[in-house]
Amino acid sequence: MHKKDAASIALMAWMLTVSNLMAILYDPDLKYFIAATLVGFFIIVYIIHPVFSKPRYIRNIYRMGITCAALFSLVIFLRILELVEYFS
Amino acid sequence: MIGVKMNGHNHYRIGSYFLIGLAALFVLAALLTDPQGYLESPILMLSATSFIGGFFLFALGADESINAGLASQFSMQGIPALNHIIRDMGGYGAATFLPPDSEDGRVMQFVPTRPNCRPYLGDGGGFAYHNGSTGTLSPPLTGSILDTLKRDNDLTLPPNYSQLMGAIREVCEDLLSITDRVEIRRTDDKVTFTLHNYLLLPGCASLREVSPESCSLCPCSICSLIACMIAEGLKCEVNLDQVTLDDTGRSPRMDIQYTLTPGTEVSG
Repeated sequence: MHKKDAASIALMAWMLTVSNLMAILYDPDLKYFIAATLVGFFIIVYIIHPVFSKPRYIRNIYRMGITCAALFSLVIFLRILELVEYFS
Repeated sequence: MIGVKMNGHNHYRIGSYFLIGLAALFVLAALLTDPQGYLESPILMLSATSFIGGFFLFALGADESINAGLASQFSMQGIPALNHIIRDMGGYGAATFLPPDSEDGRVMQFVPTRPNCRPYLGDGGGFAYHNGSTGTLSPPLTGSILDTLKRDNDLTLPPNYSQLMGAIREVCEDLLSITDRVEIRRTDDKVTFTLHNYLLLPGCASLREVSPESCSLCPCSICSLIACMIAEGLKCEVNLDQVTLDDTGRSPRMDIQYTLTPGTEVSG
């Protein structure tokens, strides 16, 4: 099995696990789900990231990583705003 | 109709379109089932799962799918003729990949020629001497591919053995995607690479049918590329000992065995 296949299967398994756990244990919230999913995504990208070369697909993954980092920052920012509002 | 490029067979792209379409359907289902609290709906999380998964597959499926059988035939074009010319010039035995002689130098391939061919070739002009034997010195067949990989894919060849093996693995599995898995074993100065599910195996099999000794006389495709990477990375001489093809199992396999020796001087 190629590393790319394993990575996509691992990401789907991680996302389905997180969504099911959130549905069972916690009130489902899209923001937290996206944050947890993106943590898994970053770990998987770190694991599959080639060290000695840059294949064509990894450049697309970098672009996706930048988008995901922005999304992750937005979720964290919204959470901080919620906390500030709660304590004030 | 046949073609090297396989249109519509990029499974990553098909999967990504399917998942992104599914994500849109899940959003619609979440909106229809609970228009007020759809943001807390588990269906919306499934939609996000499908969308992120689809996006990931889209990013992974950047490379075009090619017809491996035809590509392997293409890569072998001209190799039997080249082997014939080398043999006519007195070439015999195994080619030696010589490390670059300077920082800007490149790997060269030395093919020894039979001693009795020297008088026939006159004063030996154009021939090189290496380790006491005469032979031809030429750039290896995959020298240009190695240059392309370095230029376009920022490939680096570390001087450390274990790191270099990691780089070779990366080139075969990720960069060129011609094999599922590369297994590397080392015994003293011999290194064996096992390429599991090697895509270009049909081309190698057809070449060996025509001339079984051609693999060591003038290595081509992946055998030459790996030898070039070792010679350049470890700065040592590399000889291809033997190539074994095994297409009897569930996944076709190719074993390539090299001998590594410290570099020595070549005079031309």
